[in-house]
Amino acid sequence: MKKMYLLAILLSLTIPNIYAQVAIIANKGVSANSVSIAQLKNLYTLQSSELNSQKVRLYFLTNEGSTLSTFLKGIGENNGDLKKQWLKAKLTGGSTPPEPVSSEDDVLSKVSSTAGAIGFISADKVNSNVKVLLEIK
Amino acid sequence: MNKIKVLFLLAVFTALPGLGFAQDGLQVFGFTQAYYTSFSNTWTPAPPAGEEDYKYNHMGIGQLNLLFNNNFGDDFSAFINFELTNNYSSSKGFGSFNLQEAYFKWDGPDYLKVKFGSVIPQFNGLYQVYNKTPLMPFLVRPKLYEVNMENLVDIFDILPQKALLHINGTFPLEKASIEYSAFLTNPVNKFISSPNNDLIPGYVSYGQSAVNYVGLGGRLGFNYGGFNVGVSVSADKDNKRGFISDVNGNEVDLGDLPRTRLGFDFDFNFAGFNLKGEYLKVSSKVTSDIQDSLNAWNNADPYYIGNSFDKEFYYVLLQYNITEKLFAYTMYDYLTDKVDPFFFGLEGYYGIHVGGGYNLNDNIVLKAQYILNFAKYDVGTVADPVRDFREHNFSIGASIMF
Repeated sequence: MKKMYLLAILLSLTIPNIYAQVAIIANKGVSANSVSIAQLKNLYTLQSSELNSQKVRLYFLTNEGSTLSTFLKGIGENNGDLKKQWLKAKLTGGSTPPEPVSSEDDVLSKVSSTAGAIGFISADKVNSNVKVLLEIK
Repeated sequence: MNKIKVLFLLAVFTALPGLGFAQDGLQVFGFTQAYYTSFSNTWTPAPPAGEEDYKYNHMGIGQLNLLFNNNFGDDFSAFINFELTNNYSSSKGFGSFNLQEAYFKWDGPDYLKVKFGSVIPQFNGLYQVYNKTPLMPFLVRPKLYEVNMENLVDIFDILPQKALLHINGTFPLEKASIEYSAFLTNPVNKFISSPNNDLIPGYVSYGQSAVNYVGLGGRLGFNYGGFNVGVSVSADKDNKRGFISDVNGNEVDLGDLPRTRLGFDFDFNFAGFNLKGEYLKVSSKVTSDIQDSLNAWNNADPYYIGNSFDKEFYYVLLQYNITEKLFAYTMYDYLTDKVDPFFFGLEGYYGIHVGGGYNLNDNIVLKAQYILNFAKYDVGTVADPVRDFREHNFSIGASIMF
């Protein structure tokens, strides 16, 4: 039995985690304590720029790893379509697209230090400087 | 007035830091579309007098836009869009250079955004993006929106004029949203004084309106999942004071005619396909005297004058995204101005497009397109008065962001 447990642990460490658990994080000054998938999608597709009537500033992780894939799968969008919508906003003077950030550490740093900021990182990177609004598995 | 607006905005761009607003920095960016086109046309059974079966190529910079954006904190921004077309050259008289957009924006809550200046309004689906080539799969746009035909078709006589004041917003629902726009415009260009249209000489500067009319309009849209649909309306007046009533160039004064526009648009994404389109009907209110005159002129010369000032446009596009980078599409478009059968034919000017493209990266899109256009003309001859007209247009090119 112990061998079975050891084998299960070894397997879980070696099988790649295609979809990481992703935390939607916010600056502690954001008044909302939670966000739904629909609200999150509205924010990142620029249908809305507010959460609970508060203007928010979005960050978008550009590193194409499991965190990004889980996030996109969670909100039901693909990278190409999102970029088209952001480009349309940029060229027509629409809402400000999310700011691209290349690493999860930078996302965490920017969200913790920017008023009204929201971003997404791997759940195991969250620290006490931000609050978690939602987890996507 | 446009020069004053640009100078004002440029002054604000540089002055606002001194007023204490947080400033994110001036962003300068733009795009261009370069292409090669092979064009030919045929008349069946034969060209009428004065016409030929033409064949020619051209290439170069179809359009180049230079954009400026500056955010002043979270709520205010300014945006300027300069546009050059058709291998622009002031010394040779090629193409055009226009101030396409220049406005201040207040980014209020989701339900209220305000733009003030010179704004391409949200009206129907394609108008707001018609000159944003990186956003469109085609090289040659649907007929109403093709800027490189501006000396042939005055698109701002069919579309609403640009807005001075534009408000818009969305009401996000859980999985859907309602969007709206409402705008106030100058009158159409035929009421704007210019060297070729010097209205009230000595009083009105070129580029300024010579009447006290304004235009109004708006759009109401609904967005659910990958489906967006909208209805648009606008109202203004048309300038028919110097209407050319016959082929000899004789003018009559038909006055200023009330005019309305009604549009529908849709955009539907499903399973890698994008189906979109729009319809626009422009209707002018004419008295019975004017209608009788139109009927008489049309009977005398059906090749040159139609019997209605109504205009109609629609297009439908079906695009398939083969991969995230590769796409293909087919499109049908139709445009007519019923008073002008000399250009638009007896049944309108319509075409079938097929094309595709490849997104080389986020900034470069390679495009190819073939168009077959049709029209039918009554040239008024005893033999074969009705002639079929065909145009073949093959284009390849690239849209580049910088």
